[in-house]
Amino acid sequence: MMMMNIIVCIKPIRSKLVYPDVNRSENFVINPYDLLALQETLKLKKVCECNVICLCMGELGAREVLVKCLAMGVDQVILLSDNVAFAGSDTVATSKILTTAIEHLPSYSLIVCGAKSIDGETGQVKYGIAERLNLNCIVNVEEILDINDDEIVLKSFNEDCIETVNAKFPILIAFKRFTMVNELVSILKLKQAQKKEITIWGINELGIIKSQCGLLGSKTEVKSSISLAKKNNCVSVEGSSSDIAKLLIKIINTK
Amino acid sequence: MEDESICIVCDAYKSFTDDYILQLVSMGSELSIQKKYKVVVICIGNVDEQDINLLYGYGADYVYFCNPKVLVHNTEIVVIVENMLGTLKNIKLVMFPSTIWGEYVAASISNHLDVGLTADCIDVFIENNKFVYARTALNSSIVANIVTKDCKFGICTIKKNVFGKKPYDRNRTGTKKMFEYTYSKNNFNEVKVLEKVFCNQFDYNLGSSKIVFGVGRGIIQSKSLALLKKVAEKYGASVAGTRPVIECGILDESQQVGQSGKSINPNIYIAFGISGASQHMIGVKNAKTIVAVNTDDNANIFEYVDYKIVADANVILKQMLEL
Repeated sequence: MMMMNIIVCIKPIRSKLVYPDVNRSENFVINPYDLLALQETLKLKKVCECNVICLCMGELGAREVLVKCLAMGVDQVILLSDNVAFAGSDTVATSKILTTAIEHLPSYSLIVCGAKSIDGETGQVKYGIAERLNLNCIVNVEEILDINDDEIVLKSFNEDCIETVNAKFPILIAFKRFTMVNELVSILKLKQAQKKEITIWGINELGIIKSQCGLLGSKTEVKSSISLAKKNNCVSVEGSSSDIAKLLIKIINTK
Repeated sequence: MEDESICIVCDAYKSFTDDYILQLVSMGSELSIQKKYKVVVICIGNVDEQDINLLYGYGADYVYFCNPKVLVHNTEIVVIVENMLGTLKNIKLVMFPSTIWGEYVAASISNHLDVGLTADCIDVFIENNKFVYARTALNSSIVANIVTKDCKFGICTIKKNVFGKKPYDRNRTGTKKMFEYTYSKNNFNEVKVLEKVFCNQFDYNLGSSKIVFGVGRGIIQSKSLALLKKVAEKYGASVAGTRPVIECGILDESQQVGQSGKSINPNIYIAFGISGASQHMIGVKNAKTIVAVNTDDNANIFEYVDYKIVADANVILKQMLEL
């Protein structure tokens, strides 16, 4: 088997959003859906020779996420960061940036994504990347069954059935589930990872024009956001359990 | 056709009697009233006269359809849909269902035609002459209102059951147009389906229920589920659950209501022993009347209800069974 390149796209998320009740030392952690995708990809190293490359779009602080990826066994990590040009990117702009970065890398057999991010929750970037690269896209992947130089066999959900699919490379796949459990990474591996170089590409390195990324390159924007609407005219029901039960039955019968 | 139009795109994977498409058509019809848009339903698949009349009855002014007759990959369907959309000069909005098919086609078209896409919308409305798309974000703790910028039109995928069907108008009619499909060489034979195993055929039909009882951790802790089911049966209510309850395996996945489950719009929703996390409440926000029974006076759910009942659900349910 030849050495194949597998690219995993990951997103850094503020750790407060992923772990709201816990005080963690990191500012950013990997998106739980991407973490599962990455773990499943790293498992492939046991069955084939592959070079796993992580592409991550985020602020400079997201470097700590990529250090963790290196400690997990990823071969190469690249941070796509540009405070001015990339900020405010919606899914269209994000897929443009990720795609351009992928085109700068040597050839790949497989691109792996998570289902969606837990902050934006759109799940659209994976489609955008596949479309721009003219690749087939298999989503809702449950498990990889087999892999060789030319193709991959996997199980994926499709509406109301589970399909076993054989797909030729190059292809993009996206896993369905997420995980919050990261493998225990030893302090030694982390220390080694911290010494490794993390490549950072901004708008100049990628050669994208400003109007295609960030707020300028976005086709949608958030006009406003509100908390889930709360009700104002709540009636507090008092009384014996028999009274309450009668009221509930009355409400049911009048609707 | 030069009129401004709203399009709803659907496939014949599920028949058109499935409420989902009719909900979207109703939604398009409601939106069109404000600005006199034409409602165009675009269907891919086997469509008959009955289907077309159904679509007219729920608000379609035009039905464009195309039946490829051969099994085509989703990528071909994108081309067919784009061709049909291309015949409309003044599209303002294109709506898709949030199914795997709908998501894929919507995303592809969004990238091809360079227009903004808002996915998994729980509402679409018009404000200041623009379409605003509402969807949840930040792990469902907020509702974000999104608009497109610099786009000819907007695309969205809409969640099921966020909009109820309009009443059917049997006298409504419209215009139909058939598009021929010219078979092009399928160059996507690099993906082969080796095996298909149908799973979870059991789909607890929550969508059509007028009365729904919600089961939360409180019911599980007080071991009141069997009692609740009896009461539900007595009063003709369906039973739904929050995510933690579903994850315990106590109810079926198809009974999950909330951000990662279903959205429902019953006349009445009674939540028993549910604390009211926003991820669950977002699934029931369109219920006409919401009641909650919880022993905790400070439970989050009480901010979202019409009737607040601080009591032991087990006791109340026993009464309801006996009365």
